[in-house]
Amino acid sequence: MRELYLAHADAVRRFVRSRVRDDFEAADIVHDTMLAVWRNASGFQQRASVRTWILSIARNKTLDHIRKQSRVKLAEPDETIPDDDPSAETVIGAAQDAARVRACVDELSEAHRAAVHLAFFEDMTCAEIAEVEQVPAGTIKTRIYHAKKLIMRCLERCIRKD
Amino acid sequence: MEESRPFTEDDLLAYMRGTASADLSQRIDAAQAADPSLRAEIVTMIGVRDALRDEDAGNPPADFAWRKLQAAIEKEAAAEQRPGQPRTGWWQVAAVLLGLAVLGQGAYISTISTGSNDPSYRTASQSGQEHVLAIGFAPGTDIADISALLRQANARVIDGPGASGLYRVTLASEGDQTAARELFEASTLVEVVADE
Repeated sequence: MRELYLAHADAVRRFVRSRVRDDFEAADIVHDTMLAVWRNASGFQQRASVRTWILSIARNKTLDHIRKQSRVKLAEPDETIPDDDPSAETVIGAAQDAARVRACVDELSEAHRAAVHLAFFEDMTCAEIAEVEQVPAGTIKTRIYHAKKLIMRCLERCIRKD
Repeated sequence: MEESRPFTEDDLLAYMRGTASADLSQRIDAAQAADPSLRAEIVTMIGVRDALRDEDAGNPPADFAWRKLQAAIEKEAAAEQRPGQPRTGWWQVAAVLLGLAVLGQGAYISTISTGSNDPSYRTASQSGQEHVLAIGFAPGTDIADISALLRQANARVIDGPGASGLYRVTLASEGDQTAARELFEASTLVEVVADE
């Protein structure tokens, strides 16, 4: 169990932190997740990878936590994006500024943030993310696409404000 | 949305990670040279990835949190055992005594049949220290490949898949265990190897 924990706990913590802002709350959710992994180990089906299975448990634990806290409304993310594309030149300049990019990622809905995190940081495919998030792969593609557009619009807005 | 675009999200993610095929990379290079909005999209993806990596740097190692989890697991395992512990009844004592008698008789017969002082049998209590490894195979690994690898390692499955798809296998000796661990760690079929 220790080997399993050390192999996956960091990925679980990062994933939980992409949805929950508080480090201490995130640590508790990671603890609960790995305890659930230990309890439910016999129920693991090998159709998914161990990482996908553990992250899907982390996702459920995180959403339970958010619901209990009632601080975030767990609605489906708004996928309507204005048609006009942000200025490419402005976005390319702004995307080099890590602090600005992080601020724009923080503005995303928790579902968009989770999809972006798993795709961009954990190097997961849309199909793998779909297993974790328990939605169709097409939904994940849409979330990633729209998350990128929202980040680009946010970056453009930041530059205009400055 | 994406259907009308020349590249899928997985194509762009693979390009960002540097894992796209040469052909796909060339096509995306050419496309972004001609399309500033695609270039902005890819630069944004790289910017987001780098920003997330920066944010994660300096977090405490998972080892600290493991100790807390280990304590919780031990506590829960102990609590589960207590109410379920069977009481020892007279019939159980009798069964154990009968089992010991049968074992003793079998051992005696086996010693006689070899004509040697070194018996050809080994009772369960004499098996000494167990040499057990826990192994997790990569998803989609063929059962035939698993069997071949276990044969090569002289490992015998005694349990599993249990914890997160882990199999428990036993080895004849400490030397075999070490050799098997090395073999499993080097194999692409195996995701996790742990001593038990």
